[in-house]
Amino acid sequence: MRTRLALGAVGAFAMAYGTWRILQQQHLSKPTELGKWLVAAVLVHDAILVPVTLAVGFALTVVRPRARRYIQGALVTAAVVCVVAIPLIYRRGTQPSVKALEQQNYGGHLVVLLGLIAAVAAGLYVLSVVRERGQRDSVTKVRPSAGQTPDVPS
Amino acid sequence: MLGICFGICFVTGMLSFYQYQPWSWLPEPAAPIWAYRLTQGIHVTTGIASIPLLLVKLWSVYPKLFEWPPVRSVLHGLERASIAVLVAASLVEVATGFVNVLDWYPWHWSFVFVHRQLGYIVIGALLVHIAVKLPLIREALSKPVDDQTPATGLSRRGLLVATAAGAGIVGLTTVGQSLSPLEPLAVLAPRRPRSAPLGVPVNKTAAEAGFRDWGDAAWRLSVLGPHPYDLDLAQFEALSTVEHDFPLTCVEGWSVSARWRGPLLLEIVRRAGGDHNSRIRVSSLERSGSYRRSTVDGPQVGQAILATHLNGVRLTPDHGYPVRLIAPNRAGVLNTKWLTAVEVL
Repeated sequence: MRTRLALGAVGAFAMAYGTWRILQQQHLSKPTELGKWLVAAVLVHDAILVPVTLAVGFALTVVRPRARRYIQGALVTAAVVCVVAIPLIYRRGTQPSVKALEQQNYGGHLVVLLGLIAAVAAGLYVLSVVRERGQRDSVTKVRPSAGQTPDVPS
Repeated sequence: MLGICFGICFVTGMLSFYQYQPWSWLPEPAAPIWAYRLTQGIHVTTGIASIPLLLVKLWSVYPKLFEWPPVRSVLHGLERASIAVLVAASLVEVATGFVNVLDWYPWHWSFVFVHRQLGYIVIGALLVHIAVKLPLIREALSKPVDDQTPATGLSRRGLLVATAAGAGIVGLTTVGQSLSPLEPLAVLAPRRPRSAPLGVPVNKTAAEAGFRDWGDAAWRLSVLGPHPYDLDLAQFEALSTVEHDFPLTCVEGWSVSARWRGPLLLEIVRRAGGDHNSRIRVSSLERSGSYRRSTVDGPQVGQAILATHLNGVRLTPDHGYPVRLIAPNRAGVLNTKWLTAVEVL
């Protein structure tokens, strides 16, 4: 309990300090604009990003569970890469070349990375199908009566 | 995992702020010369990698947003309020941090100031959150992980693997901007340091600083102190020089090692009556800009060079022609360009 109180007290102090500095130095922090950003960040995340993700997840329920798992995994990985790549694509070419900043063909690079992710996910899916077939065959040889096998290899 | 990343970002971030405002009794060390390169490279890479971790963490707790009743007690209300602060501040902190690396400022506040204060708020709210959840964390860590693959879709482990794969790809394709051997893989790095002229990128070009024509004949280096004096360009270029490999490390995370040549700052300061214990202020020809002056003190005084050459080539205007400061373990923007005055304080 003492640990919890100490952690909480230090945390509350740090929060209060940061907030106080923001309110104290308004010419640097522009608190009204910053406040709008903070609220907008939560709204964009909770009211747009997550519902869109949920909708994609719902749309995927038409796919059979095992294939769905690999598609979901690939989409999560791809989304993470896109979060970083899309701002780069948007900003590309806005800076003088001497800065060596945002000069790369990020769109092309993203396509290659997404292709690799899709290929790896597809490869893993095929591997799991092959492995399950192998298992089912060996199970069938030992116990010919076992007709039902689980969808997922354990 | 996310908590560890935030902790790393907080500590390395505070080290970076210290570069800009060190206490006079504890000056920034000059060795190891790559210290800031390491800490700031870690700061930016970890910060970028924490974006997916944050999004997945928030995804996994999304159902809690619709908890009913929304507030059970005053304490419960306070806890939820602290989580709202944590979520909002974290999202803005990582998003604006990343966008800053792209030299993109779609807001009016001072990035450096707000990034620091939000850092306090995020780490504070995180500590409060840990304090509230500590019994739950202890219980969860003492139990074996329950990971039964659900029949319907991606398992908990699968989600973590996919996230880690994404964060790994992002890390591997960006870290090359600070870790030179991995630069060929840096296909998503905002910077490719080695592709810049002279192998070193710049953050502010001569044109952005407002310089068009140089007028070498008019250039003077004023050295102020107990015995002030002036040097014109020919006199300055005739001074004996040294050559050192120092990394140039930007606060935005990219860094690259380079070979710098020029007279030692200390030699110039000695002639004006200063020594290695002096605090030195250097000033740029720039008329405005937050970094047109910087102070060198402590161990960096003896190491700093007033560089005229970079990687064996005379400095270009974008790199600070005719003379710039370079010192080891020093944030990039503090290596003032287009020098015109050296002052012994």
